[in-house]
Amino acid sequence: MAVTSNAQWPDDLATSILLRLSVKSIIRFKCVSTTWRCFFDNPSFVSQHLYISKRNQRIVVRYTDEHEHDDDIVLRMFHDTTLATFDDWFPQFQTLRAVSVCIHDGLLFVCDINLRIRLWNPATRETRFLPQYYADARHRRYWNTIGFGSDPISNEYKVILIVRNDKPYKTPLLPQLRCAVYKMSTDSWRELKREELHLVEGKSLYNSENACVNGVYYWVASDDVLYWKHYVVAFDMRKEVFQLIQWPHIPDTQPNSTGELVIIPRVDRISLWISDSYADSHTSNHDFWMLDEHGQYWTKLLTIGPLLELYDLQTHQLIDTGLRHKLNGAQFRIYTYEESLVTIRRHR
Amino acid sequence: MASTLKKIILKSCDGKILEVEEAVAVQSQMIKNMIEDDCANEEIPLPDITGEILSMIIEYCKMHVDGENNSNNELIARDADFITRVDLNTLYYLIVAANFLNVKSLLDLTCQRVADIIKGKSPEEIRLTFNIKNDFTPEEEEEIRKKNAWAFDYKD
Repeated sequence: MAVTSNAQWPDDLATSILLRLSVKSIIRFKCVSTTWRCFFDNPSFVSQHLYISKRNQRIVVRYTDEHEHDDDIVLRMFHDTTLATFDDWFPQFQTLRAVSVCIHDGLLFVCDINLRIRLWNPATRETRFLPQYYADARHRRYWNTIGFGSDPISNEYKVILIVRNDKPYKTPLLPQLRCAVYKMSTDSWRELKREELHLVEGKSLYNSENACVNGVYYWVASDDVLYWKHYVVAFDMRKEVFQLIQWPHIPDTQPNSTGELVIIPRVDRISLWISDSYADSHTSNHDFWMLDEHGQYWTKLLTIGPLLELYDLQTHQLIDTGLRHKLNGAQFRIYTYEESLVTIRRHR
Repeated sequence: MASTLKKIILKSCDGKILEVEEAVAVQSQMIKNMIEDDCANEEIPLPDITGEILSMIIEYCKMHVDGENNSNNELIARDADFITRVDLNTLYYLIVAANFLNVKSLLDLTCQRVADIIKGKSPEEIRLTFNIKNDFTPEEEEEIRKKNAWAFDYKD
Protein backbone atom coordinates (compact mmCIF):
# COMPACT_ATOMS: atom_id res chain seq x y z
CA MET A 1 0.00 0.00 0.00
CA ALA A 2 2.19 2.77 -1.29
CA VAL A 3 0.60 6.00 -0.21
CA THR A 4 3.36 8.24 -1.35
CA SER A 5 5.91 7.81 -4.05
CA ASN A 6 8.30 9.79 -1.88
CA ALA A 7 10.46 7.25 -0.08
CA GLN A 8 10.82 9.81 2.73
CA TRP A 9 7.35 9.27 4.21
CA PRO A 10 6.98 5.72 5.50
CA ASP A 11 3.54 4.34 4.53
CA ASP A 12 2.26 3.78 8.05
CA LEU A 13 3.15 7.34 9.08
CA ALA A 14 1.54 8.84 5.97
CA THR A 15 -1.56 6.79 6.81
CA SER A 16 -1.60 8.16 10.36
CA ILE A 17 -1.68 11.66 8.89
CA LEU A 18 -4.32 11.01 6.23
CA LEU A 19 -6.60 9.34 8.81
CA ARG A 20 -6.80 12.68 10.62
CA LEU A 21 -8.09 14.66 7.67
CA SER A 22 -11.67 15.90 7.44
CA VAL A 23 -14.03 14.08 5.08
CA LYS A 24 -14.12 17.12 2.80
CA SER A 25 -10.32 17.16 2.40
CA ILE A 26 -10.25 13.42 1.76
CA ILE A 27 -12.87 13.70 -0.98
CA ARG A 28 -10.87 16.52 -2.56
CA PHE A 29 -7.64 14.49 -2.34
CA LYS A 30 -9.22 11.55 -4.16
CA CYS A 31 -8.00 13.16 -7.37
CA VAL A 32 -4.36 13.35 -6.19
CA SER A 33 -3.59 9.93 -7.70
CA THR A 34 -5.25 6.57 -8.41
CA THR A 35 -3.42 5.07 -5.43
CA TRP A 36 -4.80 7.69 -3.06
CA ARG A 37 -8.32 7.22 -4.46
CA CYS A 38 -8.22 3.42 -3.90
CA PHE A 39 -6.69 3.95 -0.49
CA PHE A 40 -9.46 6.33 0.63
CA ASP A 41 -12.18 3.95 -0.64
CA ASN A 42 -10.69 1.00 1.27
CA PRO A 43 -13.15 -0.22 3.98
CA SER A 44 -10.31 -0.52 6.48
CA PHE A 45 -9.36 3.15 5.94
CA VAL A 46 -13.04 4.11 6.34
CA SER A 47 -13.39 2.30 9.67
CA GLN A 48 -10.05 3.53 11.03
CA HIS A 49 -10.99 7.08 10.01
CA LEU A 50 -14.30 6.73 11.87
CA TYR A 51 -12.48 5.46 14.96
CA ILE A 52 -10.27 8.57 15.03
CA SER A 53 -13.16 10.84 14.10
CA LYS A 54 -15.01 9.66 17.22
CA ARG A 55 -12.42 11.46 19.33
CA ASN A 56 -13.72 14.67 17.81
CA GLN A 57 -17.40 14.28 18.52
CA ARG A 58 -19.66 17.22 17.91
CA ILE A 59 -22.94 18.05 19.54
CA VAL A 60 -26.11 18.12 17.46
CA VAL A 61 -29.23 19.64 18.97
CA ARG A 62 -32.59 18.87 17.45
CA TYR A 63 -35.53 21.16 18.03
CA THR A 64 -38.73 22.36 16.44
CA ASP A 65 -38.67 25.84 15.02
CA GLU A 66 -41.76 27.67 16.25
CA HIS A 67 -41.95 29.76 13.08
CA GLU A 68 -42.14 26.71 10.91
CA HIS A 69 -44.51 23.84 10.55
CA ASP A 70 -45.02 21.89 13.76
CA ASP A 71 -43.27 18.78 12.58
CA ASP A 72 -40.40 20.50 10.79
CA ILE A 73 -37.27 19.90 12.76
CA VAL A 74 -33.99 21.73 12.81
CA LEU A 75 -30.73 19.95 13.54
CA ARG A 76 -28.02 22.30 14.72
CA MET A 77 -24.50 20.88 14.56
CA PHE A 78 -21.99 22.75 16.72
CA HIS A 79 -18.44 22.75 15.37
CA ASP A 80 -16.82 22.38 18.81
CA THR A 81 -17.52 22.43 22.52
CA THR A 82 -17.34 26.22 22.74
CA LEU A 83 -20.70 26.13 20.91
CA ALA A 84 -19.69 29.38 19.19
CA THR A 85 -20.22 28.28 15.59
CA PHE A 86 -22.67 25.86 14.04
CA ASP A 87 -24.31 24.59 10.85
CA ASP A 88 -28.05 24.15 10.63
CA TRP A 89 -29.08 21.00 8.82
CA PHE A 90 -32.48 22.24 7.90
CA PRO A 91 -33.04 22.45 4.14
CA GLN A 92 -32.44 18.74 3.76
CA PHE A 93 -35.41 17.97 5.96
CA GLN A 94 -37.91 20.51 4.71
CA THR A 95 -40.04 18.00 2.88
CA LEU A 96 -40.02 15.42 5.63
CA ARG A 97 -42.17 15.36 8.70
CA ALA A 98 -39.69 13.47 10.77
CA VAL A 99 -40.91 11.26 13.55
CA SER A 100 -37.67 9.58 14.38
CA VAL A 101 -34.07 10.67 13.94
CA CYS A 102 -30.99 8.61 14.84
CA ILE A 103 -27.37 9.58 14.29
CA HIS A 104 -24.94 6.67 14.20
CA ASP A 105 -21.38 6.52 12.80
CA GLY A 106 -21.85 9.89 11.10
CA LEU A 107 -25.01 8.70 9.35
CA LEU A 108 -28.37 10.34 9.89
CA PHE A 109 -31.42 8.15 9.88
CA VAL A 110 -34.72 9.91 9.40
CA CYS A 111 -38.11 8.23 9.44
CA ASP A 112 -41.13 10.32 8.55
CA ILE A 113 -44.77 10.02 9.51
CA ASN A 114 -45.48 7.74 6.53
CA LEU A 115 -42.67 5.35 7.50
CA ARG A 116 -40.54 6.60 4.64
CA ILE A 117 -36.96 6.12 5.74
CA ARG A 118 -33.98 8.02 4.49
CA LEU A 119 -30.29 7.78 5.31
CA TRP A 120 -28.02 10.77 4.87
CA ASN A 121 -24.30 11.29 5.37
CA PRO A 122 -23.89 15.05 5.85
CA ALA A 123 -20.10 14.86 5.44
CA THR A 124 -20.07 13.04 2.07
CA ARG A 125 -23.48 14.43 1.05
CA GLU A 126 -24.69 10.97 0.05
CA THR A 127 -28.28 10.01 0.58
CA ARG A 128 -30.37 6.84 0.24
CA PHE A 129 -34.11 6.25 0.42
CA LEU A 130 -34.96 2.81 1.75
CA PRO A 131 -37.45 0.59 -0.06
CA GLN A 132 -40.73 0.92 1.80
CA TYR A 133 -41.90 -1.88 4.05
CA TYR A 134 -45.23 -2.30 5.83
CA ALA A 135 -46.76 0.43 3.67
CA ASP A 136 -50.07 -0.09 5.50
CA ALA A 137 -48.50 0.65 8.90
CA ARG A 138 -48.77 4.43 8.61
CA HIS A 139 -52.32 3.88 9.81
CA ARG A 140 -52.86 5.36 13.25
CA ARG A 141 -53.96 2.00 14.61
CA TYR A 142 -50.32 1.01 14.51
CA TRP A 143 -47.60 1.78 16.95
CA ASN A 144 -44.23 1.82 15.20
CA THR A 145 -40.87 1.40 16.85
CA ILE A 146 -37.67 1.95 14.91
CA GLY A 147 -33.97 1.50 15.44
CA PHE A 148 -30.88 2.18 13.35
CA GLY A 149 -27.36 1.00 14.05
CA SER A 150 -24.55 -1.27 13.05
CA ASP A 151 -22.81 -4.48 13.83
CA PRO A 152 -19.19 -3.42 14.30
CA ILE A 153 -17.85 -6.89 13.51
CA SER A 154 -19.28 -7.19 10.00
CA ASN A 155 -19.54 -3.40 9.45
CA GLU A 156 -23.14 -3.96 8.48
CA TYR A 157 -25.70 -1.18 8.96
CA LYS A 158 -29.24 -2.23 9.77
CA VAL A 159 -32.67 -0.75 10.40
CA ILE A 160 -35.18 -2.52 12.59
CA LEU A 161 -38.85 -1.75 12.26
CA ILE A 162 -41.45 -3.07 14.71
CA VAL A 163 -45.10 -2.51 13.86
CA ARG A 164 -47.76 -3.24 16.45
CA ASN A 165 -51.49 -3.13 16.22
CA ASP A 166 -52.22 -0.68 19.00
CA LYS A 167 -55.92 -1.47 19.45
CA PRO A 168 -56.22 -5.20 18.90
CA TYR A 169 -59.65 -5.29 20.57
CA LYS A 170 -60.98 -2.84 17.99
CA THR A 171 -59.29 -4.32 14.94
CA PRO A 172 -58.67 -7.98 15.72
CA LEU A 173 -58.32 -8.90 12.07
CA LEU A 174 -55.29 -6.72 11.46
CA PRO A 175 -51.83 -8.24 12.08
CA GLN A 176 -50.92 -7.91 15.77
CA LEU A 177 -47.15 -7.67 15.75
CA ARG A 178 -44.70 -7.59 12.86
CA CYS A 179 -41.02 -6.89 12.66
CA ALA A 180 -38.54 -6.57 9.79
CA VAL A 181 -34.82 -5.88 9.54
CA TYR A 182 -33.24 -3.93 6.69
CA LYS A 183 -29.64 -4.65 5.68
CA MET A 184 -27.77 -1.85 3.95
CA SER A 185 -25.36 -4.12 2.01
CA THR A 186 -28.17 -6.05 0.29
CA ASP A 187 -30.64 -3.15 0.28
CA SER A 188 -33.39 -5.54 1.36
CA TRP A 189 -35.72 -6.33 4.27
CA ARG A 190 -36.10 -9.63 6.12
CA GLU A 191 -39.32 -10.28 7.97
CA LEU A 192 -38.86 -11.86 11.40
CA LYS A 193 -40.92 -14.95 12.14
CA ARG A 194 -43.58 -15.04 14.83
CA GLU A 195 -41.45 -17.22 17.13
CA GLU A 196 -38.61 -14.70 16.94
CA LEU A 197 -40.88 -12.07 18.47
CA HIS A 198 -42.12 -13.74 21.66
CA LEU A 199 -39.98 -11.57 23.96
CA VAL A 200 -41.55 -8.36 22.69
CA GLU A 201 -45.12 -9.65 22.60
CA GLY A 202 -47.42 -7.94 25.07
CA LYS A 203 -45.04 -5.03 25.53
CA SER A 204 -45.04 -1.45 24.31
CA LEU A 205 -41.65 -0.38 23.01
CA TYR A 206 -40.88 3.32 23.14
CA ASN A 207 -38.80 4.88 20.40
CA SER A 208 -35.32 5.63 21.65
CA GLU A 209 -33.10 7.61 19.37
CA ASN A 210 -29.39 6.89 19.12
CA ALA A 211 -29.38 3.86 21.35
CA CYS A 212 -27.06 1.52 19.48
CA VAL A 213 -23.89 0.50 21.33
CA ASN A 214 -21.48 -2.26 20.36
CA GLY A 215 -23.87 -3.82 17.90
CA VAL A 216 -26.93 -3.82 20.17
CA TYR A 217 -29.97 -1.55 19.90
CA TYR A 218 -32.00 -0.73 23.03
CA TRP A 219 -35.54 0.45 23.76
CA VAL A 220 -37.45 1.13 26.95
CA ALA A 221 -40.57 -1.03 27.13
CA SER A 222 -43.55 -1.39 29.43
CA ASP A 223 -45.80 -4.35 30.04
CA ASP A 224 -49.24 -4.01 28.45
CA VAL A 225 -51.08 -5.45 31.46
CA LEU A 226 -48.79 -4.55 34.37
CA TYR A 227 -48.25 -1.16 32.77
CA TRP A 228 -46.03 0.13 35.60
CA LYS A 229 -43.55 -2.65 34.94
CA HIS A 230 -40.67 -1.46 32.79
CA TYR A 231 -37.99 -3.31 30.91
CA VAL A 232 -35.20 -2.56 28.51
CA VAL A 233 -35.50 -4.51 25.27
CA ALA A 234 -32.25 -5.18 23.40
CA PHE A 235 -31.83 -6.27 19.80
CA ASP A 236 -28.57 -7.88 18.73
CA MET A 237 -27.81 -6.34 15.32
CA ARG A 238 -25.61 -9.24 14.22
CA LYS A 239 -27.64 -12.26 15.35
CA GLU A 240 -30.95 -10.41 14.89
CA VAL A 241 -32.39 -11.63 18.20
CA PHE A 242 -34.20 -9.84 21.02
CA GLN A 243 -33.20 -9.89 24.68
CA LEU A 244 -35.09 -8.69 27.74
CA ILE A 245 -33.23 -6.74 30.43
CA GLN A 246 -34.73 -6.12 33.87
CA TRP A 247 -35.18 -2.53 35.07
CA PRO A 248 -32.63 -1.42 37.71
CA HIS A 249 -33.83 -1.89 41.25
CA ILE A 250 -34.38 1.58 42.68
CA PRO A 251 -35.75 1.83 46.21
CA ASP A 252 -38.44 4.44 46.95
CA THR A 253 -39.32 5.17 43.34
CA GLN A 254 -42.73 6.17 42.10
CA PRO A 255 -44.41 3.07 40.69
CA ASN A 256 -44.77 4.51 37.21
CA SER A 257 -41.49 6.37 36.93
CA THR A 258 -39.86 5.66 33.63
CA GLY A 259 -36.59 6.51 32.00
CA GLU A 260 -34.84 7.26 28.78
CA LEU A 261 -31.88 5.52 27.19
CA VAL A 262 -28.74 7.53 26.57
CA ILE A 263 -25.22 6.83 25.48
CA ILE A 264 -22.74 8.73 27.59
CA PRO A 265 -19.92 9.92 25.31
CA ARG A 266 -16.66 7.97 25.64
CA VAL A 267 -18.35 5.35 27.82
CA ASP A 268 -19.20 2.58 25.40
CA ARG A 269 -22.27 1.31 27.28
CA ILE A 270 -25.93 2.04 27.29
CA SER A 271 -27.22 4.07 30.22
CA LEU A 272 -30.64 4.77 31.62
CA TRP A 273 -31.57 8.30 32.52
CA ILE A 274 -34.19 8.30 35.24
CA SER A 275 -35.59 11.52 36.59
CA ASP A 276 -38.02 12.28 39.34
CA SER A 277 -41.20 12.00 37.32
CA TYR A 278 -43.38 14.16 39.57
CA ALA A 279 -41.00 17.09 39.82
CA ASP A 280 -40.49 19.84 37.31
CA SER A 281 -37.55 19.02 35.03
CA HIS A 282 -35.77 22.22 36.08
CA THR A 283 -35.78 21.35 39.76
CA SER A 284 -35.62 17.56 39.86
CA ASN A 285 -32.67 15.25 40.18
CA HIS A 286 -31.50 13.00 37.41
CA ASP A 287 -29.92 9.59 37.94
CA PHE A 288 -27.85 7.83 35.32
CA TRP A 289 -27.61 4.03 35.49
CA MET A 290 -25.11 2.15 33.35
CA LEU A 291 -25.58 -1.41 32.08
CA ASP A 292 -22.68 -3.83 32.61
CA GLU A 293 -20.89 -5.42 29.67
CA HIS A 294 -22.91 -8.63 29.91
CA GLY A 295 -26.17 -6.71 29.65
CA GLN A 296 -27.45 -7.90 33.02
CA TYR A 297 -26.83 -5.50 35.89
CA TRP A 298 -27.17 -1.76 36.32
CA THR A 299 -24.90 0.45 38.38
CA LYS A 300 -25.57 4.06 39.23
CA LEU A 301 -23.10 6.21 37.34
CA LEU A 302 -23.96 9.67 38.57
CA THR A 303 -26.68 11.98 39.81
CA ILE A 304 -27.06 15.46 38.42
CA GLY A 305 -29.14 18.25 39.89
CA PRO A 306 -31.56 20.35 37.88
CA LEU A 307 -30.63 20.12 34.21
CA LEU A 308 -30.19 23.08 31.97
CA GLU A 309 -29.10 21.53 28.70
CA LEU A 310 -25.62 20.12 28.51
CA TYR A 311 -23.46 18.71 31.26
CA ASP A 312 -19.69 18.50 30.89
CA LEU A 313 -18.52 15.20 32.37
CA GLN A 314 -14.93 16.41 32.68
CA THR A 315 -15.49 19.73 34.39
CA HIS A 316 -18.86 18.77 35.96
CA GLN A 317 -20.40 21.98 34.75
CA LEU A 318 -23.60 22.73 32.90
CA ILE A 319 -23.22 24.36 29.50
CA ASP A 320 -25.74 26.70 27.94
CA THR A 321 -26.47 26.07 24.24
CA GLY A 322 -28.45 29.28 23.90
CA LEU A 323 -31.46 27.26 22.80
CA ARG A 324 -33.23 27.17 26.13
CA HIS A 325 -36.22 29.11 24.84
CA LYS A 326 -36.74 26.32 22.32
CA LEU A 327 -36.81 23.59 24.95
CA ASN A 328 -40.57 23.36 24.83
CA GLY A 329 -41.86 20.47 22.81
CA ALA A 330 -41.04 16.83 22.76
CA GLN A 331 -38.81 17.18 19.72
CA PHE A 332 -35.85 18.53 21.67
CA ARG A 333 -32.97 16.09 21.67
CA ILE A 334 -29.21 16.11 21.92
CA TYR A 335 -27.03 13.85 19.80
CA THR A 336 -23.35 13.34 19.28
CA TYR A 337 -22.06 13.27 15.73
CA GLU A 338 -18.73 12.53 14.13
CA GLU A 339 -17.82 12.91 10.47
CA SER A 340 -17.55 9.63 8.62
CA LEU A 341 -16.67 8.28 5.18
CA VAL A 342 -19.18 5.42 5.49
CA THR A 343 -20.80 5.21 2.08
CA ILE A 344 -24.53 4.74 1.61
CA ARG A 345 -24.50 5.00 -2.19
CA ARG A 346 -25.93 1.95 -3.91
CA HIS A 347 -23.34 -0.01 -5.89
CA ARG A 348 -25.23 -0.74 -9.04
CA MET B 1 11.83 8.86 45.72
CA ALA B 2 15.42 8.03 44.76
CA SER B 3 14.40 6.18 41.63
CA THR B 4 12.79 9.29 40.09
CA LEU B 5 16.17 11.00 40.11
CA LYS B 6 17.84 8.27 38.12
CA LYS B 7 19.24 9.59 34.85
CA ILE B 8 19.01 7.93 31.47
CA ILE B 9 21.71 8.78 28.95
CA LEU B 10 20.71 9.18 25.31
CA LYS B 11 23.09 9.60 22.40
CA SER B 12 21.90 11.16 19.12
CA CYS B 13 23.17 10.14 15.65
CA ASP B 14 25.32 13.29 15.50
CA GLY B 15 27.04 12.41 18.78
CA LYS B 16 25.12 14.66 21.15
CA ILE B 17 24.80 13.20 24.68
CA LEU B 18 21.66 14.07 26.65
CA GLU B 19 21.03 13.18 30.28
CA VAL B 20 17.35 12.75 31.00
CA GLU B 21 15.48 12.05 34.23
CA GLU B 22 13.92 8.62 34.21
CA ALA B 23 10.40 10.03 34.74
CA VAL B 24 10.83 12.04 31.53
CA ALA B 25 12.52 9.26 29.55
CA VAL B 26 9.75 6.72 30.26
CA GLN B 27 7.32 8.84 28.27
CA SER B 28 8.95 6.87 25.47
CA GLN B 29 7.47 3.38 25.54
CA MET B 30 10.61 2.08 23.87
CA ILE B 31 12.90 3.42 26.60
CA LYS B 32 10.45 2.31 29.26
CA ASN B 33 10.68 -1.25 27.91
CA MET B 34 14.48 -1.02 27.89
CA ILE B 35 14.51 0.10 31.54
CA GLU B 36 12.17 -2.73 32.52
CA ASP B 37 14.46 -5.18 30.72
CA ASP B 38 17.41 -3.64 32.56
CA CYS B 39 19.04 -2.53 29.29
CA ALA B 40 19.21 1.21 30.01
CA ASN B 41 22.17 1.38 32.35
CA GLU B 42 24.60 2.38 29.62
CA GLU B 43 24.05 5.23 27.15
CA ILE B 44 21.33 4.46 24.58
CA PRO B 45 22.38 5.18 20.99
CA LEU B 46 19.61 6.52 18.74
CA PRO B 47 20.93 6.00 15.21
CA ASP B 48 18.34 8.03 13.22
CA ILE B 49 17.61 10.91 15.56
CA THR B 50 19.64 14.13 15.49
CA GLY B 51 20.48 16.08 18.64
CA GLU B 52 18.15 18.89 17.59
CA ILE B 53 15.14 16.56 17.18
CA LEU B 54 16.01 14.65 20.36
CA SER B 55 16.11 17.91 22.37
CA MET B 56 12.67 18.81 21.06
CA ILE B 57 11.26 15.42 22.03
CA ILE B 58 12.75 15.69 25.52
CA GLU B 59 11.33 19.20 25.84
CA TYR B 60 7.92 17.78 24.93
CA CYS B 61 8.18 14.84 27.37
CA LYS B 62 9.39 17.13 30.15
CA MET B 63 6.47 19.45 29.53
CA HIS B 64 4.09 16.53 29.98
CA VAL B 65 5.75 15.25 33.16
CA ASP B 66 5.85 18.74 34.71
CA GLY B 67 2.29 19.42 33.63
CA GLU B 68 0.86 16.21 35.06
CA ASN B 69 -1.24 18.12 37.57
CA ASN B 70 -2.38 20.76 35.11
CA SER B 71 -5.85 20.76 33.66
CA ASN B 72 -6.55 19.17 30.33
CA ASN B 73 -7.11 22.56 28.72
CA GLU B 74 -3.74 23.86 29.93
CA LEU B 75 -1.98 20.84 28.43
CA ILE B 76 -3.79 21.31 25.12
CA ALA B 77 -2.71 24.95 25.06
CA ARG B 78 0.92 23.98 25.78
CA ASP B 79 0.85 21.29 23.09
CA ALA B 80 -0.50 23.82 20.60
CA ASP B 81 2.20 26.31 21.54
CA PHE B 82 4.89 23.64 21.12
CA ILE B 83 3.69 22.28 17.80
CA THR B 84 2.91 25.54 15.96
CA ARG B 85 6.59 26.50 16.25
CA VAL B 86 7.55 23.49 14.10
CA ASP B 87 7.74 23.66 10.28
CA LEU B 88 6.67 20.85 7.95
CA ASN B 89 10.22 19.63 7.33
CA THR B 90 11.02 19.37 11.05
CA LEU B 91 7.61 17.77 11.62
CA TYR B 92 8.65 14.93 9.33
CA TYR B 93 11.74 14.17 11.47
CA LEU B 94 9.70 14.55 14.67
CA ILE B 95 7.11 12.05 13.43
CA VAL B 96 9.72 9.48 12.44
CA ALA B 97 11.49 9.90 15.81
CA ALA B 98 8.25 9.86 17.88
CA ASN B 99 7.31 6.67 16.05
CA PHE B 100 10.70 5.07 16.72
CA LEU B 101 10.73 6.07 20.39
CA ASN B 102 7.03 5.23 20.66
CA VAL B 103 5.82 8.45 22.30
CA LYS B 104 2.17 8.00 21.43
CA SER B 105 0.80 11.40 22.42
CA LEU B 106 3.56 13.17 20.47
CA LEU B 107 2.89 10.99 17.43
CA ASP B 108 -0.81 11.93 17.64
CA LEU B 109 0.05 15.61 18.03
CA THR B 110 2.52 15.72 15.11
CA CYS B 111 0.33 13.71 12.72
CA GLN B 112 -2.66 15.91 13.57
CA ARG B 113 -0.53 19.01 12.94
CA VAL B 114 0.51 17.80 9.46
CA ALA B 115 -3.15 16.98 8.71
CA ASP B 116 -4.10 20.53 9.80
CA ILE B 117 -1.39 22.01 7.57
CA ILE B 118 -2.40 20.07 4.46
CA LYS B 119 -6.18 19.98 4.91
CA GLY B 120 -6.84 23.20 3.00
CA LYS B 121 -4.43 22.47 0.16
CA SER B 122 -5.37 21.76 -3.46
CA PRO B 123 -4.60 18.35 -5.02
CA GLU B 124 -1.73 20.01 -6.96
CA GLU B 125 -0.16 21.32 -3.74
CA ILE B 126 -0.56 17.88 -2.14
CA ARG B 127 1.28 16.25 -5.05
CA LEU B 128 4.14 18.71 -4.55
CA THR B 129 4.24 18.26 -0.76
CA PHE B 130 4.28 14.46 -0.91
CA ASN B 131 6.12 14.19 -4.24
CA ILE B 132 3.34 12.22 -5.93
CA LYS B 133 2.89 11.71 -9.64
CA ASN B 134 -0.58 12.36 -11.03
CA ASP B 135 -1.52 9.17 -12.88
CA PHE B 136 -5.08 10.15 -13.80
CA THR B 137 -5.92 11.06 -17.38
CA PRO B 138 -7.16 14.65 -17.62
CA GLU B 139 -10.68 13.28 -18.36
CA GLU B 140 -10.65 11.01 -15.30
CA GLU B 141 -9.49 13.81 -13.04
CA GLU B 142 -12.09 16.19 -14.47
CA GLU B 143 -14.81 13.63 -13.76
CA ILE B 144 -13.82 13.20 -10.10
CA ARG B 145 -13.60 16.96 -9.68
CA LYS B 146 -17.01 17.48 -11.24
CA LYS B 147 -18.63 14.80 -9.11
CA ASN B 148 -17.28 16.33 -5.90
CA ALA B 149 -17.27 20.01 -6.90
CA TRP B 150 -18.47 21.05 -3.42
CA ALA B 151 -15.28 19.67 -1.84
CA PHE B 152 -13.23 22.15 -3.88
CA ASP B 153 -14.72 25.10 -2.06
CA TYR B 154 -11.69 25.92 0.11
CA LYS B 155 -13.38 28.00 2.75
CA ASP B 156 -12.79 25.41 5.48
